[in-house]
Amino acid sequence: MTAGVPVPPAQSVPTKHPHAASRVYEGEAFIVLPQFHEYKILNVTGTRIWDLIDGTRTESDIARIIADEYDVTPATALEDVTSFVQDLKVHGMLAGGGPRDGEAGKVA
Amino acid sequence: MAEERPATTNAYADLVARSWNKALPMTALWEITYACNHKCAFCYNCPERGRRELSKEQMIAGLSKIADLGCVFLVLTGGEPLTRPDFFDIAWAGKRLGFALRIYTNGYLVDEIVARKFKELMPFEIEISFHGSNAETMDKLTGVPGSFDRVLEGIKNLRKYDLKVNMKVPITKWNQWEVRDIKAIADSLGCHATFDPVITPRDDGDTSPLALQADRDFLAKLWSPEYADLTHEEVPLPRDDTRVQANCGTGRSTIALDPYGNIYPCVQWRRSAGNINDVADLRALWTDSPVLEEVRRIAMEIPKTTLKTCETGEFCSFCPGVAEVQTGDPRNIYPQVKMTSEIRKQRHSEFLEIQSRTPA
Repeated sequence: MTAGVPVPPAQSVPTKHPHAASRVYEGEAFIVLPQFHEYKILNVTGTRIWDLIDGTRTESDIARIIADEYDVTPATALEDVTSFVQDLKVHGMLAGGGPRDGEAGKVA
Repeated sequence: MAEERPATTNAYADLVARSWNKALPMTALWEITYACNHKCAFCYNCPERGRRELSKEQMIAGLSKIADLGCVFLVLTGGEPLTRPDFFDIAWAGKRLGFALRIYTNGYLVDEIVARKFKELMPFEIEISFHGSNAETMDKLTGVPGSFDRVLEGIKNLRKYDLKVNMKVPITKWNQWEVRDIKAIADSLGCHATFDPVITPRDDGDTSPLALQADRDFLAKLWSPEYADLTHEEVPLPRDDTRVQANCGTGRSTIALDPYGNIYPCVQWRRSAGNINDVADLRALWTDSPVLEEVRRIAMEIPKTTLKTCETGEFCSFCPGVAEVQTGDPRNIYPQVKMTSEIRKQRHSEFLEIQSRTPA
C-alpha cells in the first residue's frame, strides 16, 4: 500500500482502542472507555463483530464471516460491518484517527 | 443489525442487577499490599506479621485467572498500593489482560513522575482517600504530619493530566463538620467527592475504629435536604429489593483478594474461599465453592428475613460482612446500621409529612 493513499473501507483493518476494556456478559459486550469515562453495551451481532476485530482482519474478512454466520448476502454484511465500524470509530472505541482523539482524558 | 449503544444509567443498572442475580463477576478488588505510609486511625486492614505477600509474578499469574473468570473492572488497593515498587508492572499487566483499572490510593506518593505514569496507564478512575479540609484534621486522622499538603499536591499532579480523581471521604467525628469545605476543595480541583459515613471494625473484629463514627446529630443533618448535594439524595429512600433479590453483590458481582492471595466474596466479608496461588481453575471455584455458595444464600435470605423483621429494615444499608465480624452472625443487625437506618427512616417520614401538608 502507498503511504498517503486512503485505504478503501473494505480493506481497512480495524483495531480496538488500546484503552478499551471489555468483557462479554450473557452474549453482550460491555465496553469501558477509561479515556472518556464511559461505558458502552453492544448487542449480540455487534458483540460478534467486536470479537472479530483483532487488528489483523479487514472489514471484508469480518463481513465474510458475518455473512456465513447470519445467513445474509455478502453485500449486506459488508454494508453493516462498514457502518458499524464507522460507529465504533466515531465513539472512540477504535484506534487511530477517530473524531474523539482530542477528548481523551478530559473529565466532564 | 449490529448496534452499539451508550450504557445509560438504566442499561448499566440492568447489567449490575443481572450480575447480582446471576452471579456474573464484574469486579475484582485486590489489596496488593498491606504496607502503608499512613496510619489512619480507622483503618480496617490487619496484616499478618511475618507473612510474605505475593510476588509480582504470582500476582500477574493470578490476574490472568481473574481475567478468565470474566471480571472487567480491576481495583488495585492496599494498604497503599504505590508503596510496592512493582506497582506499575502489576497495573500494566492488568491493563494488558483487558481490565479497566480503578486505583485506590492515598495519593501521598503521586509526584509529577508518578502522575505521568498514570496518564500513560489511563485508569478508569483514581480514588484518593481524603480526610479533612485542613492539615490539622487530616494529619491527625492519617497519623502523618504533612499528609494534607502532600496528598493535595498529588491530586493536583493528577489533575494536570486531566485524570479523573474521586476524593473519597470517610466521615468521622473528627472531620464531620468539614464536609462542606472538603467538597469545596474537590470542586476547586475539578474532582468528584464521595462521602461515606460508614466506619467498620478491623478485619480481626477489633471495634476500636467505631469510636470515631460520626455523631447522630451530624448524620441527621447529612441526610437532610441541606446536604443533598453531597449525598446525591434529596430524601432517603427505602430499599428497592424488587429488581435484585440479593442484599448486595457479595460473592456475586465481586471477588476480593488480600496480599497473600486469599480469595473472599468481597472486601468486607473475610471468609476465604481459597488461595489464588493454589487455584488452577478460578471459574470452577466461583461455581463450586461451598463458601461462596453459602455467602450467596445468606445474602439472598437477608432482605426476606433480617431486613423484614427489623423495624427500619427497608432503610438499612446492611453489610453481612460487618455483621459477622461484629456480632458473629452475618444476619444480625449491628449498632451502626440500626442507628443510620433509624435516622434515614425518620428523615423519610418527615419528608412525607411535609409533602402531605403541601397543597397540590
